[in-house]
Amino acid sequence: MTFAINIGMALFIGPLVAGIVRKMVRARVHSRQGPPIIQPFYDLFKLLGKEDLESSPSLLLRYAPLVAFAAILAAALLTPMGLRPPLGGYGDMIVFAYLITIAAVAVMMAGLICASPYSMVGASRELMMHLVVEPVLIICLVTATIKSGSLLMWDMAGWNYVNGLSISMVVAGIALFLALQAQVGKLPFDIPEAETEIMGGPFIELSGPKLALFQWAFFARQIVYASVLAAIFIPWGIKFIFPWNVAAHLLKIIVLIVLVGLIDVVNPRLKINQAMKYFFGVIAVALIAMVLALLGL
Amino acid sequence: MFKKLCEKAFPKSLWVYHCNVGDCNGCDIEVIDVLTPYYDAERFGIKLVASPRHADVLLVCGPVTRQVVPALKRLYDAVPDPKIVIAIGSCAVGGGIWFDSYNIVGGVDTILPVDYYIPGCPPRPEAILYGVAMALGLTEKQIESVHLKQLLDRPESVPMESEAR
Repeated sequence: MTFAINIGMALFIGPLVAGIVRKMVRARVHSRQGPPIIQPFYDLFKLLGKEDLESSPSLLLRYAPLVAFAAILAAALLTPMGLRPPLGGYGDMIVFAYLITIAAVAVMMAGLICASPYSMVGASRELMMHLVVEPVLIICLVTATIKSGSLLMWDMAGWNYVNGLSISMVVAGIALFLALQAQVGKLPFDIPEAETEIMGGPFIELSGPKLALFQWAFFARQIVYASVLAAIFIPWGIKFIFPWNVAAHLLKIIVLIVLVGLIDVVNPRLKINQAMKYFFGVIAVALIAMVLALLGL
Repeated sequence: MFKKLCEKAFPKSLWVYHCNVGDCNGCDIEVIDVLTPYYDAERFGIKLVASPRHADVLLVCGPVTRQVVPALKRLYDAVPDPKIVIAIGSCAVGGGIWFDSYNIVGGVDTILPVDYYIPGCPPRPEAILYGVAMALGLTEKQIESVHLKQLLDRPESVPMESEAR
């Protein structure tokens, strides 16, 4: 039951929310009509039905999309999405951080294995972004761990709900929200993909099903990151009775992703050094949250 | 069933790759026009992609010059099946005013199997959108094919000089 909810959220709500953002936010801001809401599904199924060109004989390229897809789905099973996560008893936030990193490493591998200079640049940028963005998530989760005394995400969410707002959790939530834009790869920070600059970065040589799996993993990743922020740092609604807690969670992640989409539409891409500077600031904010938590605030 | 779903999704999500094989940039600008918010090609699921590996449709502009022939062949091979080739502009359709030039091979169909032709110099953005919509099956073809004949100099009712004599 919870398995079905988490997997369904990641696999189907992810592309659907992306479609809503494209139609309701992006097209509205451009004052045009925009594609239908289920356009991401059309794209994914079309890509799955296309020929799979082998742009490199390496096995690594063949399995990298599957690894990324599987890692994100496993991370989705560890994330509280309204209900207690189905694998919540087996993996804590450390396993979660590793799974997310495995997905990023799979993207890097796919980029490095293809002999295109654009994909090399994309892979190195992916590495750089991951190295500055991921600490924010870890530090924020460690803050929650210090406050709640548990490494399990569901316990953190429950603790935050029961004990109400505390300064350190609010600051950590703000830091995580500031990093969300880069975690889901949206515009001021879509530096690794950068369609207009390095033409899709690590994905430039991937065709058909491989590209579809990466894209689907990225749609699911949006939901996973938004769920972490929504469940742990905005704990409203997690103790509702059954259908309503999932509905409340859905509402929270849709609001978060639409907000992210709005920022995506109205911003230009930052240069790498500007993004680095920004994220050092965000890491500083997250560290302040951790220090506050250690002081007991 | 899954395969059927994939085939059904294909015309609803066409990703185009735009390539210039010796064009004067006129058609290129019109193609870019189609993708602006004013014409909003994205409402049909049409998206410009930067890599031929992601593409479903090749928009080829310009007469094929001799130098570009191997690159064009490799480009066609780099696009995964199923794929559509659309020739845009008079030059791509049949060589245009360069048809007998020494360094021009001819229209795109001398090198690649072309599925749709959009003539014009340059074709208006509406014409390009119409052509793509026809390829998607959204609209019907509105003109019939015309077989051109050599016209006589004068109406047949007037007897020719040789017959009158």
